[in-house]
Amino acid sequence: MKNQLSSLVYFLSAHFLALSNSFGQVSEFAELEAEYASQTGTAYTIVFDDSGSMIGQKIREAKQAFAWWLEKAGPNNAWCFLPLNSRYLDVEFVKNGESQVIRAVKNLEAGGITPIVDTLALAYEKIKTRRETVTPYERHLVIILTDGAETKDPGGNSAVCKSIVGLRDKGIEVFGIGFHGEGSYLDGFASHYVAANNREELQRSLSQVDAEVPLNIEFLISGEEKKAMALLATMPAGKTPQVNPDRVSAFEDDGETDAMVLIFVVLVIVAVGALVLVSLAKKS
Amino acid sequence: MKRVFPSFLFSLFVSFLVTGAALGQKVNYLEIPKPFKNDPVFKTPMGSVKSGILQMPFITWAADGVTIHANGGEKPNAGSKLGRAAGTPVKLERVDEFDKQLRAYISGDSPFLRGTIGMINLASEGLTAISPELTPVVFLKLSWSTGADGFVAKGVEKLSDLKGKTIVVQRTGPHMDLINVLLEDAGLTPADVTVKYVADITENPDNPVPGINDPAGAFRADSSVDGAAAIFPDILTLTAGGNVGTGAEDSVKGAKPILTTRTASRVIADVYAVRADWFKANRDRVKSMAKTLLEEQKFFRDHLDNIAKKKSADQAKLREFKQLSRPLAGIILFDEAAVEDFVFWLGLDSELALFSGNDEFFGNERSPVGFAAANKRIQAYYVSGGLISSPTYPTAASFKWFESTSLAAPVVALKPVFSSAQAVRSAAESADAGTLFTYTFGFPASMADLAWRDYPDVFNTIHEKVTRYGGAVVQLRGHSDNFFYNFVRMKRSRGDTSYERKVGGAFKKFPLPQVEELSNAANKLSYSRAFAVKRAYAQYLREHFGLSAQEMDLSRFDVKGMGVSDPRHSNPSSPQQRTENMRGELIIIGVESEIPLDFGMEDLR
Repeated sequence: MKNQLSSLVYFLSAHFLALSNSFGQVSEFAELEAEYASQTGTAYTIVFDDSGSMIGQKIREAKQAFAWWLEKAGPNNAWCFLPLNSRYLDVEFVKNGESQVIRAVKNLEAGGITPIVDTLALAYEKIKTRRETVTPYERHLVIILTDGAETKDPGGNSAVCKSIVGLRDKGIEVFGIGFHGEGSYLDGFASHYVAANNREELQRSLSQVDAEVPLNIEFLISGEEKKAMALLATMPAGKTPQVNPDRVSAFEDDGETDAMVLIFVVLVIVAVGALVLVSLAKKS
Repeated sequence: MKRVFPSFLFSLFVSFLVTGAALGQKVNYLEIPKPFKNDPVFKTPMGSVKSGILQMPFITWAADGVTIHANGGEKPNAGSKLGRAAGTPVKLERVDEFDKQLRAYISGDSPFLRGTIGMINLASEGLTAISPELTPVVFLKLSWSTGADGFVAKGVEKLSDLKGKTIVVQRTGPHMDLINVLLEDAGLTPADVTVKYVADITENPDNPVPGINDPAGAFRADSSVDGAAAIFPDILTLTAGGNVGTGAEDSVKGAKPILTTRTASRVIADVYAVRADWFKANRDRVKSMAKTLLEEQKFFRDHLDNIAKKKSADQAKLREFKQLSRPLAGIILFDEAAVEDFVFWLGLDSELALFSGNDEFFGNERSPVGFAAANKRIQAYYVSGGLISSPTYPTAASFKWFESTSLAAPVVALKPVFSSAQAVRSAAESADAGTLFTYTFGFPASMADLAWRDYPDVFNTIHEKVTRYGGAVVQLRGHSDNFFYNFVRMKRSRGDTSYERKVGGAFKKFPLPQVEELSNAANKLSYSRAFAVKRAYAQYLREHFGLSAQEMDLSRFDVKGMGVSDPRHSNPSSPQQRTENMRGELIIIGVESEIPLDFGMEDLR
């Protein structure tokens, strides 16, 4: 366990260093750069398992390592801390709020159930609020540290996976980090699932991707795939085609889709009604 | 020339116009010789400036009320501030017709011209051709028009739609240059439109020529006219209250306000000029007069600032101001009861220049809206339209107001137009927001760096437009290319977790990113590109003009990352198309109805 946490600390720290470099642009316009920094950076939502299964040595090691990692974190990130049970220790999003998260982690005590679904719903609410009231340009990462399974939601682990897919559909990256071989049910549903002792995978998964690729890079794309891309281009940006019927968002859409569906249904009803009336009129 | 303000004369104008339209009067279009120096007005015999009482023209413009107040009225008054400064009594005379002013100027009845910087430039060639002693010396800037003038048109969504259209404007009036600016910013030349001229700026009951003599009337009566430069009350009438004209109640069907000086707040500069010969002989008197008028402006500005305090305004001071403004309303608006209209015009629809504004206008040669730049722009445009045969610039008195100890240089306090970033965004997204100017910067893949030194001319132009449209929002929109995003979406939708790309001549497999990772990266990249334009502009202001961060007003800038939501090519299939998607746009957006005012009518009651 100790090795697993140490490797987690190592790779997350490397990730932060890499990120902080990208904000290290020198400028004489402190106010301008502060404005830029306030709008960008990464917003971390830490969903920390403080359930009964973490009692004892496990949570002590996790707290110590997590606090150390936070202290090493680079600047310009926002932090939100949501333990599964100890609601009084919640930390709302704070820019450069590492110290507050450290205090909360220090006071964390294990005990209670594993309500991951509820906590993810809470996380989404906080992210939504932050996007609407502070900035929509932050990279949002939800990091779920858990060594166990959902114990509150009747849907169990499937409900957790559904919640994660819902978050991802909202442009939120979800990192599942499992301990002691547990939590692996997140694999395939989270943006990335990593066993805490897998250093290489952790490092790879946490690095930020580029939105664009150099123009001289040639991709292998079949004719069929080209057609599929052309079709995709007609879909609204940000909407992802569903991989399979199981990938149904657990979170409500912004209403736009619902409204469009409603309009479509009304139009169909009106059209059908009109046809019926016309046919009745002809008969009479 | 006659520049008349809002609501007071509103109903009066409407009644005249209704009558004119009802009688089916013809529009009296006028010609303007090309070049203008061939106009008969320049055949006026030149004479020396007459001694004795000094004749000084004023026009129907609120800032001229300040001049009248300094003179204690229109009549000669040796004991008034202006009279003492001039060393002789000054007789102020309303002369709204610029041709009449020119005749008096050339003949020596008056050494002064009262016009806009555009009008003075138009006349400069003809006057200098008579004699260099008549070359206008601009010695005082009175104000900017910040809402009293504008342009209204039908069938025009954006300025570039004016190509091939017919527009009407007052001959030799302040709107000739406004039209020039609109056309220039739309990328059009004078040859792209047909311009018709009329005598008055608005319906003028004193014009002895029967028929229609104003742009608004011509727009109503002549269906071949697509647009008109007009004053604020006419704009409201033509467009059914600033919306879209219906054809009823003197509106023109389909007519919409395109732009007013509330947005283009640094175009129409009202100035006084003096004959070169008289200036040479009376430099100190002219300076003393200018100083007196600017001190009087400061007095009025203090009162206007008090009104802007709204509920916490000093009520006794407000009463005093309204009292002293009554006779000025009587002179400027022909009705002493229209005092609130007068104050509204003075404080909102115009902006007094003050000492600092004169210092900036004449002294800052790098200002894109200063005296030097304005002359250059105006002359170039008049030359291209044939109104001037070769550039002939007026000169400036170039008084240094802050060199002496008697006048302390003011602390420049930047006053944002909008109260917050949210207000800027909401104005940019309002229903009546309209694009005035756009420039697009390209970026290499995944890059968001922009250096103004790579685009010096572009930033000069941007600075000119940003300054000129002082009431507009400057929206910066960054965009990311959506090729890789589409590719990953497509692959993910097919269940793939890897993709292949060519490395060293052979395809190799790579793990496929998640869609949300790309979406986050695209959002940030697009915002960074938009912000790069703002950063580059700030660096331009610092390095090109020597401004400190505190001296810059970037409060009208709205930075917006569009992610992959608005690509130029939704399915980019070539490097060219992908390159075109990787961009940052600077868009100047007119937001007329969203511009907050310092005070309202309720604050005057």
